[in-house]
Amino acid sequence: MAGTGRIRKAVQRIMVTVFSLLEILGLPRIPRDRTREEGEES
Amino acid sequence: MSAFAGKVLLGRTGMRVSRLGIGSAYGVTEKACLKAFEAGVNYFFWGSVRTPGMALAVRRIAARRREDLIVVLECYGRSPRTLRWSVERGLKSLGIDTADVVLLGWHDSPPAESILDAAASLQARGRFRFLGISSHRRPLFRGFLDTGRYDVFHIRYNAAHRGAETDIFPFLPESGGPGIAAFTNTRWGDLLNPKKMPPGTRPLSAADCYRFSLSNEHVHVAICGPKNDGEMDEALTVLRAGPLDPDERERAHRIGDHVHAVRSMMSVLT
Repeated sequence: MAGTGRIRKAVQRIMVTVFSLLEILGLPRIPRDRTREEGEES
Repeated sequence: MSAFAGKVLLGRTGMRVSRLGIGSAYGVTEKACLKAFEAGVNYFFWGSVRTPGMALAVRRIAARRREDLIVVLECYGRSPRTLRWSVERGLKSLGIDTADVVLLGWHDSPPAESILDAAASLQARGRFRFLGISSHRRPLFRGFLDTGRYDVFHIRYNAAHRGAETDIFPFLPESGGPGIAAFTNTRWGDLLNPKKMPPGTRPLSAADCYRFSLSNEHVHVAICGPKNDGEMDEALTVLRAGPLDPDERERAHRIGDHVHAVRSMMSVLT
């Protein structure tokens, strides 16, 4: 199953790259001050 | 008190962990995380996708009860620079100074020394307390164990993928070993899917799947990945339960064997 192994490795590399890019870009975005705003209201 | 209601030691970290953990990847909401925390869940795994709901919950909880939370920050960086960036950006987003665990994500070959050196440097600077690693290749964990560098393992383990019972668990030391977290407990939902069951068999529930993992004495925490508040509520029923009885275990094995024989796209690709 060498073909499957190569596909698996390629998929893993692509997904790791995508996840890493998301981390570096800070995606998905997180509201920065919502906690403070809600804390102030309560 | 039910068997899974309390906390156990997360291996050599010495931290006390709830038997159920939460993963953020499927978009768990802030409300669901807060509810789970109040119910006793303290293992918050921010990865593979760092979604906003958990981040908001961590910010809120950490503002008052940081010591009651175990924050696991997964990092996919494959160079020292991207690892550092990932850790620093993650901490900033969560509004905390230190993660409890930085998890080197999805290493299907041993991490480069440069990555481990960068991790050690971040750890020495107080950016995280314990180092963890995840992989889909079970045989690698024996090597990870031999290095003595890792405090936490994230392992794929479920009723269909039971290979850890022979490839990993027998090699763990009786004490002082890494904390063990099981992920993919539902096998990407396959174990819950009526269409993938043996004829005439009712599928497992998500809670059954978490109970299956936790029934193994080596597993400290089973990570759920709720998409919505209803799924979180179902997962939380685990805290009121205990290990599978022999009949339930036999059923889980039968279903798991059947599901394993029908290879899914995810099982082929990961």
